[in-house]
Amino acid sequence: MTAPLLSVEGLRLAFGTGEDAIEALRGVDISIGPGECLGLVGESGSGKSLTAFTTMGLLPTQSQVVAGRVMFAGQDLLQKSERELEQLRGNDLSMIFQEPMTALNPVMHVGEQIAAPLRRHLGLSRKAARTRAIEQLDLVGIPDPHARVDNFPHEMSGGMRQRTMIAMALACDPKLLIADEPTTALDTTIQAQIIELLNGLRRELGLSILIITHDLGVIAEMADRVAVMYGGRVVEESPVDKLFDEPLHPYSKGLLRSTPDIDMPVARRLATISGAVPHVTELPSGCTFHPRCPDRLEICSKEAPEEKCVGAGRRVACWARDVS
Amino acid sequence: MRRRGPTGGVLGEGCVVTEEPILKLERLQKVFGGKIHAVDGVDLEVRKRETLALVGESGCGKSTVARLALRLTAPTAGTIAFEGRDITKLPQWKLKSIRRRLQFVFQDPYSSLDPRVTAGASITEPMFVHGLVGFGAKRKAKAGELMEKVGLSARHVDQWPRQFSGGQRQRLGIIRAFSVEPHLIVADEPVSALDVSVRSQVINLLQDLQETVGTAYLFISHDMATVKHIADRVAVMYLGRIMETAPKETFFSAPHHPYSQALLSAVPSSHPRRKRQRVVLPGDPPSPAKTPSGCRFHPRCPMAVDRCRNEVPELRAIGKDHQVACHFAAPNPLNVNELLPAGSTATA
Ligand SMILES: Nc1ncnc2c1ncn2[C@@H]1O[C@H](COP(=O)(O)OP(=O)(O)OP(=O)(O)O)[C@@H](O)[C@H]1O
Ligand SMILES: Nc1ncnc2c1ncn2[C@@H]1O[C@H](COP(=O)(O)OP(=O)(O)OP(=O)(O)O)[C@@H](O)[C@H]1O
Ligand SMILES: [Mg+2]
Ligand SMILES: [Mg+2]
Repeated sequence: MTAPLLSVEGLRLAFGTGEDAIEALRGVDISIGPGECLGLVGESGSGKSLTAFTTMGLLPTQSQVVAGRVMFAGQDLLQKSERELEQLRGNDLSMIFQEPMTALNPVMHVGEQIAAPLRRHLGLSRKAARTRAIEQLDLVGIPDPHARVDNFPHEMSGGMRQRTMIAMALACDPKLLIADEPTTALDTTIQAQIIELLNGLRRELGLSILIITHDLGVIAEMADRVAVMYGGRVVEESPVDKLFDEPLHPYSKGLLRSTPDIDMPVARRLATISGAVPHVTELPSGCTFHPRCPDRLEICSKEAPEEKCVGAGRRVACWARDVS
Repeated sequence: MRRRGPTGGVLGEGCVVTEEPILKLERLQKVFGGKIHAVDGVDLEVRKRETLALVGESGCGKSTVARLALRLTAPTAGTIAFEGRDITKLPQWKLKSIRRRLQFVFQDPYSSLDPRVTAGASITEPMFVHGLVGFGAKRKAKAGELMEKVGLSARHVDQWPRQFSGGQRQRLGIIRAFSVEPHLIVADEPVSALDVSVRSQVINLLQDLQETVGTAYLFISHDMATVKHIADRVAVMYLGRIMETAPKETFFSAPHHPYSQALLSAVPSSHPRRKRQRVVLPGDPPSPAKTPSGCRFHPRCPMAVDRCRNEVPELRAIGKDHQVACHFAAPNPLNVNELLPAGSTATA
């Protein structure tokens, strides 16, 4: 296996300090190879966005990294100064956010927004940057890019804004694109456009992608490998078809079984995962999934299981898996 | 399979007796601000005990149809009949008697319960309004009973909405609607805001209660897999109009309208080895303030011809229970999936 482009190792992140500290990331491990697409799935609040933000060096206020490394192209991003990070972001490392409207500047033409990093990072002239911006808009399939370049974000539809975000993120030819729920706010037909676009760009540009979603369908369409998060940890990691064929962690199993499948005959009842998602402030002891787990053992409430290798490219953190 | 109440019966050749639909919308229109044609001539009926799923993209007018059906907003034109009675112009005070039989569940579990009212008081409110429950201890006992029906503990009747999770709040909203044993529940995206692992619990609950009470649903959703699971019939809406209605089986196996076909082909695959061949529609849905001429879908339709630009296709029957608003609609439709070369993406 080639060296990964990005590897997040043992990342722990807490809000607050001392007694009141709440650990929201409790040892996250993920890695992405060059040209690879890793899917990050999991329940709301499981720490997907926090993992992405930390990787980008965008820590939320009041939070600090307690342990771990974020290795990107051989360097630990957590050791970098804000200036160095600034240089990396929008250059080698790029992110698109869930809600395009909050990430776009409402009073600036979209063309200028795409051009700004080009001028800053690549030192292009105003004119060259504008030409490049038009090319970028064209690349992401925005009709009539010569006119659109002078649009304000509110003059565009949701799908076009999301494409503009992607154009912006790709302007400086990044090596890694982090896409946090890039289609969640969009309609099914627009979602399909964006998935096709990202898959196409990946093929053409050899881009690595970290795709964050709670939608297993998006994972099936895009990912090569998947990491499943629950309660601030990766509980299972697997090549995508293996996960869909035979999920190993009880949470992954429950997730796959409880999602209605449009390609299958309709069952009378859906399978369910009992109970509710715990809040980070009251995560259960031991394995955080144990109160909802159908396979739980004595030890599960006492001690958190380590992630263990179980066959080619598969890892799972589950006590029941260890004894069987 | 779920058992259904009778919706019609054939009494010999050509003589079909159909039960009265529970909700019937005819030529319904809602114009906002004089120019936004949010609902633009909708014909739709919901039958007794059935689940009719209303699907379509954001902004096509689904929620507006829901609000019109519930008489939470007044239509610009058209009629709304509930259990055979025209309620289009019924004054609010007369609607009270209908409200018991016509309930709703909305999308957002966080705003659907009054934060200043306890869970128990909230869920017994419809019963109380209709004089179906007493005061004080009697009401509280009833609340506890209801909460246990949806898997919540009766000990929590005095808790505030914020002390419940999203899924729990949605259960409270659902049991409140069901408490008065309504004949129809209008459910606008009732599971969309829920976590994946909680969503299936709530879908099961909706189906279980439907079976015990015999309620019909007008179920609004944009998630096709959920629709396939829960619906008996499907109605597809685009820019304020119904494009196709069909029994679920027909809809998912042989959708007729090019828009229905595109909508279904856009659904992400459920397995990495089962990727579908996709019709990627060019562009975005136009705004309801600028409805295209003729068939409103024509600017994005891969099959559009001159006629489509000029002539509005009416919703017409092409099979049992199956209606399509497309000039090309025929019992054996052209499928846009077969017209386009494999994997093609029509991007404008
Ligand atoms: N600024 C903050 N202050 C305190 N807690 C926070 C903050 N940001 C996130 N959290 C908590 O950290 C946990 C992980 O949040 P994160 O946003 O990473 O979840 P997520 O997996 O992206 O969920 P979603 O699918 O809802 O986007 C959540 O429980 C959240 O409440
Ligand atoms: N009170 C209002 N005033 C003006 N326009 C409105 C109003 N309510 C809805 N609209 C417009 O009417 C159209 C239909 O809106 P509606 O909420 O019914 O769509 P929807 O199909 O429910 O969409 P979604 O899937 O996003 O919930 C939209 O263009 C919307 O902007
Ligand atoms: Mg998130
Ligand atoms: Mg709506």
